[in-house]
Amino acid sequence: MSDSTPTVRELSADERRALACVLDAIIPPSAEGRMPGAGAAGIGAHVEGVLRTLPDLHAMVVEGLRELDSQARQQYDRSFVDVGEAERAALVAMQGFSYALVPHAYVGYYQQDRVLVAIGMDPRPPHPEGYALPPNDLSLLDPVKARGPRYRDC
Amino acid sequence: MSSTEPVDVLIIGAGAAGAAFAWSMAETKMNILCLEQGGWVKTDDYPGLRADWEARQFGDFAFSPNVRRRREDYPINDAGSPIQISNFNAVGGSTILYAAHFPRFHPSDFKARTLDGVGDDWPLDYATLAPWYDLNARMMGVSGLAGDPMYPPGKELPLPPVPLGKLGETLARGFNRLGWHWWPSDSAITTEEYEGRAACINAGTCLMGCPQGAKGSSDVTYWPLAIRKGVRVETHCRVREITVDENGMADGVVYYDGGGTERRQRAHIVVVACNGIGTPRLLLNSRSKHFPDGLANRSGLVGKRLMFHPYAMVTGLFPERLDGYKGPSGCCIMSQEFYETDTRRGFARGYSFEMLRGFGPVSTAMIGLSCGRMPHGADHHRAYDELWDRNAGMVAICEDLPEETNTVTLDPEITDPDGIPAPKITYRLSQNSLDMLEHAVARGKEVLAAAGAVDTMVQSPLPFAGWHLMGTTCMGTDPTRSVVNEWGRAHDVRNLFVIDGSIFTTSAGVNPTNTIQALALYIADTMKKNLATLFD
Repeated sequence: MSDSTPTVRELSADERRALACVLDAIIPPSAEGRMPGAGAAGIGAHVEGVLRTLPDLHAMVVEGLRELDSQARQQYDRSFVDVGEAERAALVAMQGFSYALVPHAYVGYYQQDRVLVAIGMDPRPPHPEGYALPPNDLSLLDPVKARGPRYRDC
Repeated sequence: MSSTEPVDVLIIGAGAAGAAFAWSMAETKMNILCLEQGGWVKTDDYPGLRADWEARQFGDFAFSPNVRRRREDYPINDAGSPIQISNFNAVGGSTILYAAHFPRFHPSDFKARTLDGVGDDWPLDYATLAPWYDLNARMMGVSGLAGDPMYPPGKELPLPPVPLGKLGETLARGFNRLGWHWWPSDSAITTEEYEGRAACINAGTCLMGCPQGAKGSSDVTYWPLAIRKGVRVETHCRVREITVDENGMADGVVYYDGGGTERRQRAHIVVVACNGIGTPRLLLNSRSKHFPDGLANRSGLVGKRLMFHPYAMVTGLFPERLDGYKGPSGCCIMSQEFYETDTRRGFARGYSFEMLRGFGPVSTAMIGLSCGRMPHGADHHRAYDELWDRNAGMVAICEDLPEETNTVTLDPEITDPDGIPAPKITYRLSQNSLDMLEHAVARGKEVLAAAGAVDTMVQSPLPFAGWHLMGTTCMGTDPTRSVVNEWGRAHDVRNLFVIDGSIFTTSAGVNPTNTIQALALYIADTMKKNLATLFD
C-alpha cells in the first residue's frame, strides 16, 4: 500500500462550468425556489476535491464532459453549457459518469448551510451544542411489564 | 533489533478488552505494558465538531479500514464475504466508533447446544459473568432501566435510560399495538454527568466518535484509570509476531514502532486483545518449530468458527417528522420478542431488534440512493422530502452459528504498511442465518406498519455490518475442540491468554462489547486469584 496521494490536473474553466451544469442536472433547484441546485450551491468545489484523490473517476469525468459537449453540438449545434435545462438533463441522463458523481454530489450538497436551513436544520455541526429531547414517557412500558418475565430460565 | 527488559504482562491491543483487563490487573502492581498499533484520538479530531462531519464517514472515520487507510490500519481482504469488516485502530479500539449499545448476553446464550442442539455450550454461565457485567456497567457508565422481563432480575445500571424522543415513542407504540416486547436500550452513554464525564447532548454522532466524552469508549473509561495505576501504553506499535522460548512458552513479541523500526519486547505473560480478526492473524503469523501452524493452534481452530452478527436493516417512512437525528444514533429501544428459539419459525436461536435514530442529512440521501429512491433531476427534492426526518427503523441483529468453514487466514499477497500479511476472510451466510434474516425483515415491516409507517426500505444482509468479530480462538475445556480454556489461557501455551471476542463460543444475538469486557474482567480476576500457580 502507498501513502502517496495521487495527483491529477485541475479542471479547466470550461470543464468547471460544464461540471456545475451536470451537478444541477443531478440536483436541480426546486420548482418553488426553496432548494438550490447543486451547481449553484457550489458543490463543484467539493466534487473537484474528491476528483483530486480519485484519478480513475477524474479521468471518467473529464472524458464524460467532453462527450457531453460533443453530443450537445451534434444534437443542438451548441455547447453543452449553452443548451437549455431540459436538454442538458436529457444529455446527462445518458452519460454513465454522472451516476458515479451522484454520491459525491449528495455528500457535498447536504452539508451546505443553505441546504440545511432549507430542510429545517440549524446550519451548525452537532457538537458542541447538541439537541434537546423531551423526558421519557415510561408508562408506555406498562403493557410490557404486565406480560411478566420472558427470559429462558436455565 | 533493540530489546528491552521483560515486562510482567504484555497486552497487545488497547481496545475494549485490553483496557478492562489492564485496569483490573493494575492492582497487582506488576509491570504491565500495552502495545497499540493506533494512537490516541484527540477530542478535536472528531468529525462531529465540524460542518463536514457526515462526509468523513466515507473517509478517515469510515467503518472499513480498507476505506479509511490510515497508517495504523491494516488492510483486510474481505472480498470473500458478503459482510465487510468494520473496526478502528486506536487506544479505545472499535469502541471509538461503536454505537455503545450495551446489552448483556442471556442465560440461554451460554447453553445453545444443551437447549437447542446447535453451536456449543460455553464453559461458563451467566451467573459467573453477572458480577462482572455489573462492575463493567459502573466502569463504562451504562444507562438503562432495571426490570427488563427478558433478563433475570438483579441487573444493576448506574444511569437512567437514554431519551426515547418522538421517534422512540412512535416505535414503542407500534410494539405495544402488536403486544411485542420492547425495552429502553442498555447504553454505555452517560445520560447524566458521571465520574468526570459530561452528560450526553443527543448530538447523534456516536458512530463517528463522541467529542463530548459521554459515550463509553475505553479511552475515556478504563484507560485513564489504568494509566493512573501504573500501566503503560505505547502507541503506534504494530506487533508482527509472538515469540516462544525453547520450551514453547511465549517470551515476548516482535513489533514495529511508528517509524517502521523493528523492535523486540520480552514478557513473562502475553495477553492478546486484537479482536476476532486481528488476534487469529497475529497467532497465525507467529510460527515456530514448536508451532509450525501458528501459535496455540494445535487444535487447528485458530481462525476458524468466525462469527459476525448478520444484520437486516428495515427502515420505515412516516408521514410526520420524527426529530430522528436527535439522540444517540444507535441507542434507543430494543425488542427481543424473537430472541429465544421457537422451532415453529424454522430456524434455531433468534435475534434482537435495535431501533435506530433517523439518518442525518447526508446519510438520508445515501440510504435513499442505495435503496433506489433518489432519482436524478426534478424529482429529487420530492423524493428527499419523503425520507428526510421521516425515517425510523431498526436493525435485526441475528445470532450467527459457529462453522469451521468461516475463517480468518493470512492473505498470500496483501500486506500492511509494515509488510505483515493481511487477514483474509472467507465467510458465507448459513441457511439458518438466511431464514432468520427473512423472518426479521417480515416482522420488522409488520411492526413499522403498526407504528404508522407508510412504506419501508430493506437492506438484508447489511453489507457493511461486520462490526462484531467473534469465535476465532474459541473457549472451551477440550483442547481438541477449543483454543483457550474457560479463563482465556491458551491450551497449548500456558503463559498466553486471549481476552477479546475471539474466545466467544457462540455469538448470541446482541452486541458483544459488554460481554467482551465482562470476560476480560473475569479472566483478570481469575489470573489474580491464581498468580502462584498460573502456569501449572
